[in-house]
Amino acid sequence: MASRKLRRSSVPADVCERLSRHHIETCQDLLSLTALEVMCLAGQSYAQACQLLRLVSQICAPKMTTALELWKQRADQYFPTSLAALDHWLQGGLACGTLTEMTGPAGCGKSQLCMMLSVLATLPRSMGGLDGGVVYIDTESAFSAERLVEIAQNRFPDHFSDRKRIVEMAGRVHLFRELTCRDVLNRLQHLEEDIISCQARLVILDSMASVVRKEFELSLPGNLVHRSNLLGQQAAMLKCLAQEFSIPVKHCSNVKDHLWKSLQRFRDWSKEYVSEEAPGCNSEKHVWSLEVLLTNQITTHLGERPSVSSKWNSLEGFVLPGDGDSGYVTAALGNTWSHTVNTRLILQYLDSCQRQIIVAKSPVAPFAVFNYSVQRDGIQLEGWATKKRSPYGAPGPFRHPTCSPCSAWAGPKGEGVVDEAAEEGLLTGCFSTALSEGRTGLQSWRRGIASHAPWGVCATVCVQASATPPYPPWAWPLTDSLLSLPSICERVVLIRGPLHKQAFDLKAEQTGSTPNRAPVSELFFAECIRL
Amino acid sequence: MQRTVSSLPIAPPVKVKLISSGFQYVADLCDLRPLQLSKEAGISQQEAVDVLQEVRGKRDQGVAPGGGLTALELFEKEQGLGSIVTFCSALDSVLGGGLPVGKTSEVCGAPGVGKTQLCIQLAVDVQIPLCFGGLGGHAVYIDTEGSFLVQRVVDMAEAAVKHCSLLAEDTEQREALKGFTLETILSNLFLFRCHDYVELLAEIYLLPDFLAQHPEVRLVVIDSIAFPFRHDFEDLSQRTRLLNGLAQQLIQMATQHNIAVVLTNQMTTKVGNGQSKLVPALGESWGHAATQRLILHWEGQQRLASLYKSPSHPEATVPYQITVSICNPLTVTSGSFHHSSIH
Repeated sequence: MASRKLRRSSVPADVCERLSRHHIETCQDLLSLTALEVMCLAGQSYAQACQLLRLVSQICAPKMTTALELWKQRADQYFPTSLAALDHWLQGGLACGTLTEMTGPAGCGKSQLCMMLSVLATLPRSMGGLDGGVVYIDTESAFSAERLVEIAQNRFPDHFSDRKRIVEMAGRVHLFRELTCRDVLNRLQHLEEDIISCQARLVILDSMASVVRKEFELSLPGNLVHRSNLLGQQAAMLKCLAQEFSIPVKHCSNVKDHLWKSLQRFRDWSKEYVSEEAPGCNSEKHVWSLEVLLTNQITTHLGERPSVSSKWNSLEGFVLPGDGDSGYVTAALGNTWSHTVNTRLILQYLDSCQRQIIVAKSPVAPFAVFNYSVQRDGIQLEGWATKKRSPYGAPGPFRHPTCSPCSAWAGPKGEGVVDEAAEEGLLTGCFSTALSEGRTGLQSWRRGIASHAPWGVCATVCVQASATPPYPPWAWPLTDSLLSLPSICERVVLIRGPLHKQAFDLKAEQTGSTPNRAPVSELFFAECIRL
Repeated sequence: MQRTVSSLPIAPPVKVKLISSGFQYVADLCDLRPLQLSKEAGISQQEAVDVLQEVRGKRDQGVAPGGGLTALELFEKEQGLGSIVTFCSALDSVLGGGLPVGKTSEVCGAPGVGKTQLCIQLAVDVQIPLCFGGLGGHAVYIDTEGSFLVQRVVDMAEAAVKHCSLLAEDTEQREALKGFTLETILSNLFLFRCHDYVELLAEIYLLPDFLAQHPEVRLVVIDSIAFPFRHDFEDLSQRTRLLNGLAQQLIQMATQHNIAVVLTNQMTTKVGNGQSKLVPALGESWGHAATQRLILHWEGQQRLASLYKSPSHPEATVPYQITVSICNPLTVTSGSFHHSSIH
């Protein structure tokens, strides 16, 4: 152990004495020195100093294990969330021993999900639970015991029909209300004791960001480093605990969403403040915001102009990806924190009633989107048809490399047909626009798309095209806001009809290169309309 | 050129006594006997013996302790060392056949871009038998972040075994395939979980002994080296010193034991002049530590890998993908990486 005193190890006493005169008491102090320094401080030769370091290292070094042993223990490795599709995607559920982060805007359902998972954790193993206690550290006072009981009673009515069981379940959830950073840190430092005494199998921290952002006013220069250190310490502590006890640690953070106009504010402020948080490069092109940084949220209101990505030019290093043209929401607390968490789930509003949960970062699962809603019995996934086949097919002509196309489609009937059509990659996570003329049933198509397409990347526009068929590629819609569409869209689908019901895929590139025309299957279209 | 006594790696108090008794150069000590030295310098007999052994050892070794190598010998040695394939043909061609053995390589990237995936892939690929073009070696994986998940290794191992079994043509390969199964792959992957920088340093000190006991090891992965050093350090100069020491030890291990060392680094933002750019973490001086540097980044929605620093290969950028088992490249047409250029 790093904090072990040298005196208790097998280091000779006179050497200990000499080292303690220089305030080197623990193994950590000794290992933080280089061999030359040890030589001087301990008064030994180089070979002896190396030997001493090796001796102390043997105390501190972790034990070796092989991947085979780890695999054999894997029964304990996952915590099923009872959302079947999500569990399947994550290869079993939330991984134990790692940090999982859930982020989302206010009111999206993070606390609901946390409460649901608390109920699950107290269930016996036979029902898919962890049969243990829950340590719930609440900084926002979002925890409600009544809601917990309501979820329990509605989700597992048979199991919790007995009042005693409810009492037992509620007794296993230990709530700690901490309102300042210092309190949270203290709580985490004593977490080991809490975990052992509560026999906890799940630790929920809801939410870190609120206290941190309340307390660390980022306009003061020293605070950024201080805050990062604090977060770093907590991250390390949580990870260490997660590993030791092999429990899943869940952590919810808020997301600050600003309009793209605050991009200017950011640019002004960034000149004065050294900011460590980065617009991280994730698969969804995030731009983040913290008081200083920006978050864009994509909506289907096409009146907003995409912000200029060309302003980011680089002389050296790497350019951050253009923000704003598909402003995606991402989590607070910055780049370092993004590195720290192992799994990241983003909760997001799709429209006023639909919500989505996105697997944004996971070591075992690719990017995926699921729709959900909050019900009396907690969270329910909707419209999901688990695709048995692998999401990574061979790259098709229009296939988006990181999205899994078919899995977002839940064809109510003729699933196979929709699959085939989607093989051609019609709506695979790209920004698509559909131009149509006349009544082609686009409304229903749009509804279908909106509920099934991957998060935030599909915008459909119904427009009365002014040109007559065959549509030349330059017959773009006339309205001002839509003129900018081709530049931000990666694919444009032109739908002819009503008679033909064919969709042509026109590439929309600013250079105006020759578009490809590939008629999408008519059958697909017919199915869509029925959706 | 005479070597001074003060440069000898002996204990400082002994050095002080020798110098104050008038021994300035190593040549003065050569012909003395231990008892004589101990009386003249006022040191104990054991210390005198140690000093003389040190001095004589140095003389016998000759000019350079490592001996001299001609460039031809080095060339032949490097040819024989081989490299670790990544199963991503574009990446392999950029790296000149794969990750080189005997050198340290650094992989940097933003969160979620695939560094851990690449490391796990390498840990599986190093075990491919020699007759299939692999190295048939074992791997050491030092995990500081907790992002090592066994399920992923299982996926990749199964895919590698399947890939090789499809390739097996002659009896030799089929024989080798019997020893290349999921269980053997997993059991030859040695895992160390370090929770903080002290454990990491301790592990690196002990690693040479481990490598001597397991001469089959051909790959050491440290994932990531940035995480334990990025917080908890008030004294940045101490951090730099520790990192430099670490880098030197790793380079020494790489050359002495013929292993490939892969380090994973994180990215941080540097904001200046109104722009921000992502640069690898741990500071400027860390950039010199690794021999090769590979930077993984996003361009739009495509993942790219850039060879940023290499003594033997030109800079290049290639796209890659993370799939269930192996990294696939996308076809690249005329220098454009945007996937819409593919029909």
